[in-house]
Amino acid sequence: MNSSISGSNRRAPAGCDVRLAWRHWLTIFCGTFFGLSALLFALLLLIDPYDTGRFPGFGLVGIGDNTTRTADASRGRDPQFNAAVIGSSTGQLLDPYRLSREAGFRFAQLTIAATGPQEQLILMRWVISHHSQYGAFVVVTDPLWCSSDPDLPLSRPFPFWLYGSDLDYLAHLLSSRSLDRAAWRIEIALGIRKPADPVGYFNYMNQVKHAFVPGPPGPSARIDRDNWLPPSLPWVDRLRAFLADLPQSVRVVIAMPPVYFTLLPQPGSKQAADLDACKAALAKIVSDRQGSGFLDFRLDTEAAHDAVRFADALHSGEGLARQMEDAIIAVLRSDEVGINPSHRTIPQSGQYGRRSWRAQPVMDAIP
Amino acid sequence: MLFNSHSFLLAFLPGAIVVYAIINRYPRLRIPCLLVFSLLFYGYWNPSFVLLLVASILVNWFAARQFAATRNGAFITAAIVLNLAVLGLFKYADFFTGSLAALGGVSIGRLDFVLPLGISFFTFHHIMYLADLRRGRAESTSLNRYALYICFFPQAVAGPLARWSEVGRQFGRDAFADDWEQRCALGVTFIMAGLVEKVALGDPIGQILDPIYQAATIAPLHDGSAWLALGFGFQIFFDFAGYSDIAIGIGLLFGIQLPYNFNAPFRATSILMFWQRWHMTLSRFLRDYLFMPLADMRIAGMRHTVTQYVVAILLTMALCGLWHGAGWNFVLWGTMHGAAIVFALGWRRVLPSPPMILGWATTIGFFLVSGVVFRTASLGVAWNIYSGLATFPDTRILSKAWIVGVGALLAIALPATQELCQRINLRPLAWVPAVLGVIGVGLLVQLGGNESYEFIYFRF
Repeated sequence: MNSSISGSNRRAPAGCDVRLAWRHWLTIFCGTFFGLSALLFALLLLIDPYDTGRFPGFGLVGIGDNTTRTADASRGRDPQFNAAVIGSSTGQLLDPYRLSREAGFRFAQLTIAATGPQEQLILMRWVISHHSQYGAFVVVTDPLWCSSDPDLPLSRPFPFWLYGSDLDYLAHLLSSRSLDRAAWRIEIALGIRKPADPVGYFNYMNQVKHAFVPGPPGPSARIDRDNWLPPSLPWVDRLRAFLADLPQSVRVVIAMPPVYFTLLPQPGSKQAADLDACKAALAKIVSDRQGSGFLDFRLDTEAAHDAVRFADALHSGEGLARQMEDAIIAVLRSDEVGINPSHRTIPQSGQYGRRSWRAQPVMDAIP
Repeated sequence: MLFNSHSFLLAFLPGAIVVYAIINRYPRLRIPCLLVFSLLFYGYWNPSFVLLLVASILVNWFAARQFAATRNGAFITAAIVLNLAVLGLFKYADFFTGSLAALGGVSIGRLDFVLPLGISFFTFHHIMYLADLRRGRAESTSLNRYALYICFFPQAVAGPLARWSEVGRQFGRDAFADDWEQRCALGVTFIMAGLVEKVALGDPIGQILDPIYQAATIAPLHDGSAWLALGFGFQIFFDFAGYSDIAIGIGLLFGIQLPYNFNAPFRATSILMFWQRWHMTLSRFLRDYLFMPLADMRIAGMRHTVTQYVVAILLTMALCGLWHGAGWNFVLWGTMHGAAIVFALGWRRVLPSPPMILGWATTIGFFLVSGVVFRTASLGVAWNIYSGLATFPDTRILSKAWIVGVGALLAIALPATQELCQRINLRPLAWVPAVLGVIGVGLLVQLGGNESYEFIYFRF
C-alpha cells in the first residue's frame, strides 16, 4: 500500500483557511489532552487519594481503602499511632487493640499479605520518616527473611512509588486506582461512605471455611557438617542496617511465627542448620536494645503438630496468635536491656525435639 | 522507555517536539537533534547498550564508505556477516549450544547474555542498507544521517523496517513546512489509534490469556479455556499493530513518513494474502533479501526449479520463525506457515479458488491455531492447549473473556488503521480532536492503573 499522505489541501483555493482549521484541530487536541490531564492531576494532588500528606491539599480526613498495599501509606504516617506490627499475612492475626491495651503503645496493624522483606523494610522506613518519635516495631519474620537471595522476586506487585520519592509518586499518580481512592475520600467527606478502620486489623480466621488438611513433610537434605558454611543473610543484614539508624528508644520485637510441623526442616538437615543460623543472626541484631528481643515460635512443639490450631501449614490460628501476643507484650513491657533469649531459645542443629509452647525457653527469658 | 508510559507521552514526546520545533529553524541541527533524542530514548532502557548500537553504526557506516570508495563487495559481505554474528551471539548462542547439547549430550556452558533492545530490528536495517547499497538502490551517506536511519527512536526498537530509499532523504527536512498541521493531526490520530489498540485491546486480552497459558504449562486444559488461548493471534495483532501505528504517528510529528506495517490482515482470504498484510515490512525484507537469493535459478538450475522454490519458501519461513525468537517452537511456527504457503501456491496452480468465505475461515483459523505454538515455549504445552479444544467453553468462561470477542470482531470488521485515520481526517472537524483528547486522557488513566505491559515485539 502506498504510504503517501500528501495533502490535497495545498492546491485548494482556500488553502490558508484549511491550514488554519488544522491548526485549530491541533489546538483543540492539545487543549483537551493536556488540559484535562493537568486538571485531573491537580485534583488528585489536592484530594491526596492515598492520604500521603506529601503536598498541601484539601485536608480530607480518612481513607476508604481496604487494600493494605496502598492503605498502609496513610496508616503508616498516622500520628495517633506510635507502634506497628510489620510483616506478611503470617503476622496479620496479631491484635493491635490488645497490644495497645497491654503493652503501653498505640499500635497499628501494618502487615501486608504476600510481601517479603523488601516491601516490609520500605514500609518501616516510610513509618519512621513520618514520626519524630516512635515507640515500637513488632517485625514478624517469615522464612523469606532468611533467604540468601538479595534480589528476591516479588510475590505480587507492590506500589514502591507510593512509599518512594515525591517524583516517583507524581509519575504514578494519574491512574484509575488513584481516581477510585480520590472518589472514596470525597464520599467520606460528604458522609456517604464509612472510612476504613485506621488500625488495620483483619481477622482472616473469620473467612476460613475449610479445616486445614495437612500435607506430607517436605524433603530436607542431610547436612554435611564438614562442608557446611553459614548462609549469607542479605535481608537480615539490611534489617540490621535499618535498626542501626533507629533511635535506641524505639523498642523492636522480632518474632518468627509458628508453622505446622511439616514445614519445619528435619533435625540435622542443612535446612535446619541454615534456619538456626538465621535465628541467631536475627536475635543478635536486637540484642543491644532496651525492651526488645527475638521470639522464636518456629519450633517443633506440641502445638506445631495440632492441625486444628492452623489455618494452613504457614498460617497459625487465633490461639497461637494470642500466645505470640503474650510473649510480645512481656518483652515490650520489660525494661531489661537487650532481652536476647537466643542462647536459651535457639536449639542447635539436630537438637529439635517436641516441646510444649509453655515450656519454651523464650517465655523463661521474660521477667 | 515505552511508548505506552506516562513518562513518554507526557514528558519525552512533548519535550522532543518542542525542542525540535525550535531546532527546526537551523537545518544543520535537525539530524543531530533527532539523533540525540533517539540515543536518549534507547539509553533509557539500558545505557550500556547504547555503546553497542553506536559501535554497530560506526562499523557498518565505515564498511559502506569503503564499498562506495572501492566498489569491493567484500566490505559489504564482511559487514553483513559481522552483523549476523553479533545477532547470533546475543540472541542465538545459548539456543544453538543448548540444542547441540541436547543432540550430542555435550554440555556447553550458557552465556546468558541480556538481549539488547531492538537488536533484531537494527541488524536488519543495517543489512537492508548494505544490500541496497550494493544493488545501487541506496547511496553512500553521511555518518549522522546513517546513524539516524538506524536509531530513529520511533522505529529503532521494533520497526517498521524501513528501506533507506523510503526514509533516508526525509531526515533533516523542514518538519514545519507545507501542510505540517494536517500531517501532525494525522500523526496524533495514528498515535491515539495505536494506544487504543495496545492499551484498550491488546493488554486486556493478554490479561485474560496469560493465566490460561500458565495453566497449560501444568496440565491439559479440559475446562474449555483452550478455545480462548486461540485469541493470542488477536492479542499480538493489537500489540504489534498498535506499536507500529504509534511509531508511524510519531514519525509524522517529526515530518517523517514510515512505511505501514499492517493492512487489515484478518480480512485476508488466503495465507498468501495474509502475509502481504501482516508485518508487511518484515515480509518484504524476507522476500527481497532472503527468499529471492534462495530462489535464484542459477543455484539449482532450471530442472529443479519447483523443488528449489519450495525449499526456499520453507527455509525463508523457518528463518522468519527463528528471527522471532531463539526456540524450536518459533522454527516450527515458521515452517508451518511455509508449508501453508506452499500448499496454497500448489492449490492455486491446479485447483480453482475456493469460495472466499472458506478461504478466509481457513486462513484465519490456521493463523490462530498456529499462534499457540508461537506463544508457548514447548510443544508439550501447546499440546495441552490443542487437546483442550475438544471441550467447548461454557458461558461462564466466555462472559469473563468478552474482550477477546470484541477484539476479534474489531480485528475482522475494521479496515486498516491507515485507512481509518485518513478517513477521520478528511476534513478538519473540531469534534475529532476533542474526542481524541478525551480518549487520550482515558488511556493515560488506564495506563497508570496497570503495570506497564511491554510490547511483545520488544522481545524479538
